[in-house]
Amino acid sequence: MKEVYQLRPVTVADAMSIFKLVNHYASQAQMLPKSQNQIYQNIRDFRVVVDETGEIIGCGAMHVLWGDLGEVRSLAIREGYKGKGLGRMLVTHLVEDARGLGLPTVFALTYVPDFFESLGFKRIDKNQLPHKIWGDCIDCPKFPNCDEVAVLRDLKAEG
Amino acid sequence: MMCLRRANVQDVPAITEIINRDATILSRSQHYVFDNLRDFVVAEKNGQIVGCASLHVLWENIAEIRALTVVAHEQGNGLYGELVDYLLDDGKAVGVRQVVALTQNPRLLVNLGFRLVDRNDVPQIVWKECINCVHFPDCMEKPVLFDLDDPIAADTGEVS
Repeated sequence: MKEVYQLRPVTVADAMSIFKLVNHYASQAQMLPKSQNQIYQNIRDFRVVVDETGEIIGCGAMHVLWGDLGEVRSLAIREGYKGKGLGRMLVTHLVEDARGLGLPTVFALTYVPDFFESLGFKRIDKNQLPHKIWGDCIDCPKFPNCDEVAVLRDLKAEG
Repeated sequence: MMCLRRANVQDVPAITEIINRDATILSRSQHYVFDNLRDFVVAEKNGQIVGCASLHVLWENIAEIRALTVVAHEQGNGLYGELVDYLLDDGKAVGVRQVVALTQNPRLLVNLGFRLVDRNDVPQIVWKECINCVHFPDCMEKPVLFDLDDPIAADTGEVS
């Protein structure tokens, strides 16, 4: 049987599934942990991918940082569902979402820069990022010893 | 021509300006508006932002109306009601059951179907940002609630 996956916006009812998915990877130090509070407060940033039974198997968020910059956050695909293009589906959608909000550039801090590079992002020096992004970093358990790679995509240049 | 629509980043300076011109609501920084941009709806007339409102999800059952304002020369035309209706529909779509507001002008929202409630009847989560407010603890705002799953409250939502 052909597998059918759908991408959709979220409701508050999805928050706990997102919480479990993100923190599953956070517990393995593969992404940043998120509290339930952080997820509820930013629930509108999220999109999820569901399978044919409606179960959430992937999530990702686009957060507006300032008028010129959005950030891809909390991108996670459930174990066993990787390699099916679902991460690609999510990031592509989140980038379109950023465009719709009027954002000219989007970035991510990631452990999988190759994946983002395959989607048109370019590796950049973290110091090239505007200072305002560090407002969120300062509360990170890893600050200031961040080992993530910064990647940026210029939507303006793409027209 | 008046149109209500979701905000985008280009609207942020105008949104911040009309919020901060209204002395009856809390002032907000551009940073706040960017950070919560997806919460915002704007009323646009002839290319000008003449009103705005936002619905901020607090927890699984509850969201808060924040930064509700209409510029002086557009008041009295039902625009507050249109903005609030937009947010109530939005609250239903995002799946919350209650919408709370803290307001200096409870009559406006009571006329739109909200009910005045005692501070002690408002969930704790609503208060978590108050501690950093310049007006804390001498708050001039009154809490009002709207129950989205209460058909009676929902029916009176249109009454003005």
